[in-house]
Amino acid sequence: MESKILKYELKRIIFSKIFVITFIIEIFYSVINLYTEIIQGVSGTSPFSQWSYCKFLCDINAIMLLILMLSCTGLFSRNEQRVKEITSCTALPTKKYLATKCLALILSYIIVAICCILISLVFYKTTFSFSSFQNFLLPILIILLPTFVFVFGTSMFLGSKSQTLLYAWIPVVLVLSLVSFNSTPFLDIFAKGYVAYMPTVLPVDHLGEPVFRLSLDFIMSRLLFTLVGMVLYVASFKKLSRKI
Amino acid sequence: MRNAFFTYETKRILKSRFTRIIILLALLFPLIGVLISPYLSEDISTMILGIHSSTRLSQTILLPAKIGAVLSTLAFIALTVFEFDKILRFRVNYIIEPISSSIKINLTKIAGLLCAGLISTVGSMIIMTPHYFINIGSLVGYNYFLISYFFIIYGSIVLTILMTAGFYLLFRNVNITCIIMFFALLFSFLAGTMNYQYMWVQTGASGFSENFGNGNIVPGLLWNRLFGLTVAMSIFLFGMLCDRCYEKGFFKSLIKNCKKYKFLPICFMFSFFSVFFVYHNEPIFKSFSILDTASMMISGKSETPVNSNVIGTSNMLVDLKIEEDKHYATGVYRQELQNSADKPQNIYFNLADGYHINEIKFDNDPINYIQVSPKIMNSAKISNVYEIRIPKNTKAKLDIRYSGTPKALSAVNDFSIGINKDYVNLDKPYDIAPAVYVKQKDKIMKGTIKIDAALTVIMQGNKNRKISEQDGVTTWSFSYDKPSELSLTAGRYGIFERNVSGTYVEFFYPLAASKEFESRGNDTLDIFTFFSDKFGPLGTGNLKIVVTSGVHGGVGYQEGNISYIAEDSLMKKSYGDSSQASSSDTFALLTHEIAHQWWGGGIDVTNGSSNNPIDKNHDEWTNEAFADFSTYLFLKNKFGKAYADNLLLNQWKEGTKDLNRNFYRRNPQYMKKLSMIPKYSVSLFLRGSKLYALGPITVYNVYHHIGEDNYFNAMKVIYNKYYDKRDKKLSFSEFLNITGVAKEVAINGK
Repeated sequence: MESKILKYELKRIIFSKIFVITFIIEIFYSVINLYTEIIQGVSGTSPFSQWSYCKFLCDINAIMLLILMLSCTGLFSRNEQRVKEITSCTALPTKKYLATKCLALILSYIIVAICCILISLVFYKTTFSFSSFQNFLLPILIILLPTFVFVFGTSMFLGSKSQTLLYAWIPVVLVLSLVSFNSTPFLDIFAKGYVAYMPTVLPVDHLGEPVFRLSLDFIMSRLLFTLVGMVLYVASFKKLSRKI
Repeated sequence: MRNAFFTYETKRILKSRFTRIIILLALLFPLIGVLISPYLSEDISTMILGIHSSTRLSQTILLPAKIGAVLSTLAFIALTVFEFDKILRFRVNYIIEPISSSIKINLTKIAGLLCAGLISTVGSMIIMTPHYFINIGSLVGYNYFLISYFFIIYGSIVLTILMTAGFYLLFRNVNITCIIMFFALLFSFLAGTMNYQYMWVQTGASGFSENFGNGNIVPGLLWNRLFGLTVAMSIFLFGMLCDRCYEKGFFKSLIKNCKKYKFLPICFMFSFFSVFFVYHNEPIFKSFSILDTASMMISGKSETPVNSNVIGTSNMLVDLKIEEDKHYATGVYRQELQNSADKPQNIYFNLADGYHINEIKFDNDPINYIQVSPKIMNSAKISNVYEIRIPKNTKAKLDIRYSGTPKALSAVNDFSIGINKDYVNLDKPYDIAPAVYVKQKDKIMKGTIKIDAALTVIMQGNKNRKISEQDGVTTWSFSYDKPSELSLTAGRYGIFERNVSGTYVEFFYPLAASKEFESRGNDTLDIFTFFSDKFGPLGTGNLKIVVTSGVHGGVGYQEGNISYIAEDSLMKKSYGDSSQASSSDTFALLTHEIAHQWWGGGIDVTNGSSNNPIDKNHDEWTNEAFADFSTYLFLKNKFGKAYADNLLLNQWKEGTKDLNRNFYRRNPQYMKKLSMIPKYSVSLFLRGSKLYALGPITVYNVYHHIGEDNYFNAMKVIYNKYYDKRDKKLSFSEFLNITGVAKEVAINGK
């Protein structure tokens, strides 16, 4: 039953006009970004270094989160509120229904991320014959996950308060994605400044490449963002289930 | 009845709470711009807002206006979407669509929103007037304030409203419209480097000069808005065509609207074709994209071929009349050519785009010419290239008559270049006269320039002087032996002139601001005297230091016996305190450009003609290395070691570190994997770091190793051996021989 709803919700998100348009923009942006920016390497590192890959993920993450936040707005729209009166009368528990909807949102984000990552892998293979893709697992985990959890949590929290707040949060996130904070990771949600700054100060290995070493500050900041995101998500989840 | 609806709807929009909030915010946006401007980095100001100049006028007018325009754009996207979405949001479309004309509704909404935009713009002008008065001290130039606020802020609001409405009518979705408009805003920020016409929000206005008029800034601003308006109008009209009819989908609505409002498709088609017409007929610049720049830099093929079978047997004579009021020039070029070959020879000449050929005569007979296509010759992308045929075994006079308005290249986006009312800047030789590509051994270019008597003409060479004045027109003479370096600057200049050990040092400053620039005349003397003492006297009869228009700002360069520096660069303060030394210190820029009179002007530093294996792969070895290091020596002498170290040495060290860590420096074999634009970008970085970091630090290492006295002794030796000897180049290996330092020491510092 829930899997049917999940499939339906996922379909509804993926085939919506807005998702399709932003998805096309995201794919297009990924290709342009890889072939013009990342190919130069971030802060003098190789284009296939973990630092460069982090920069790629930071760049694409802004649009992926934009898609996520716009999809979130659907959850708090007037139409959705009206439909709730009907769905709350069904046999499916409200919490489960809400969790399924959130899961669908998370899956839609994962689908976009996977597509972009696949594009990047094809790029590295065809341009540099590089295939040590296991090196990219840590960047994917450290760059995408905390930011996603934080933005998703805050979006759900703000959306549960008011849809207008969620709309106001979207440009704030976009502006934050454009600003580089260099060595202040606790402000740098997207870690864009950090990944460009660190290779300039870290020691180099035998090939002359800056080593991929994350500072304790940075790890703590990611954990904090993840934690805050989770707390806000739980708070909003409770509030939303109560509302119905 | 119609008027009643229009008035009612406009009033309703203006009275709505959301509109009032937006108007209030938009009123304050330029003020917010002023408050956040100290925290904006130079990169944001230059790259995103497109402000290159740091003159007071630019910072007082353009910065707040552009920040205001960006923020107002965001606010009016929200307001327009909010207003247009009302019908769907309140589900009254089923009532309104069947009974009312969609055109009337949409146009009324647009009119109401435009009124709101106008109120906010006028309000922000009123709020910002005291700020203008406090900063500038008078209302001189206030017209630029009004023009800028109107065209930058209100212009961006008008375009935003039209585009947002168009996209909303097209997609009927708030989120999609907002996303598209967000990307349109990003496009305006990022695509400006390709063509200033794309800067639809902040416009391409780069700065205002305080002393030399504003060149093409205002025409550029107007053209920016005209192009933006054609694009926005096309989007809006197409949106109106696609506006959904009652119970009809996209295509059916499109067809029905086309049938119902016959003038609408015609207006759309007109507007759509206007986009291309306006784009291609841009009047200020010759279109030369960043792709052309990249391809030329990478391939290295930009030169027009020289036909060495044809020889220039006389000097080149040029008479140019400049009518700055009409932005127009008329010229005649004469030279005797000899074709000793048994076959007719085709020769080429370049002339700036904007000029047209009136007549070409050879041996007093008119001859035909053809314009070479940019597809055939790379240099035809930069200027017009013409081909003429010289008959076999002839020796006769070539006479080229031309006239028009020379245009600068769009890749530079410098609105001060060209002929303007108060200022003339013809910075390329082919802006002044045709560059004829035949064998020109030891031939000089000389002639006359006729121009308004109020303007002073400054050109390379020692014989640039006023020879007559009649009816308000002055005739200036010029003569120069390196025609490929010739340029012309004219403006209302005052001259600070001193004879220092046989060389006339002339400092050309803006006449209107003589008090502010007086002390800079003495600075130039200090710099000149220092270098003359340490290296040797400047051989040329006179050295000219010219203050140029600050419209583009922040630049300095040397060409022949002239060192140019932009007015805004000289207005910045120089700090004696090392803790405040910064890269924006422009005393260094002035010193650097004067140092080029020795390094580049008199001594040529290059490995180009050396066969010594030591000199291979040292393309950092250029005049820039010595000009920069000489700047260090002067600053060290004037402000102390700590200051010079902070300002230059530390920068070189950082730059060299970044260069050596760069992946493509370490692995040049990967360069071929790069496509044109990234290759251009990487090459630019590597070249910049080599020239302005690795080169000077190499010279510094030698200096540090042998000590200051020995270094200056070596400089004297170099001066005696290389100064003014065109066939002798100072290579890296020869420098090491003279100073007696090992290569490893020069490169690694130990």
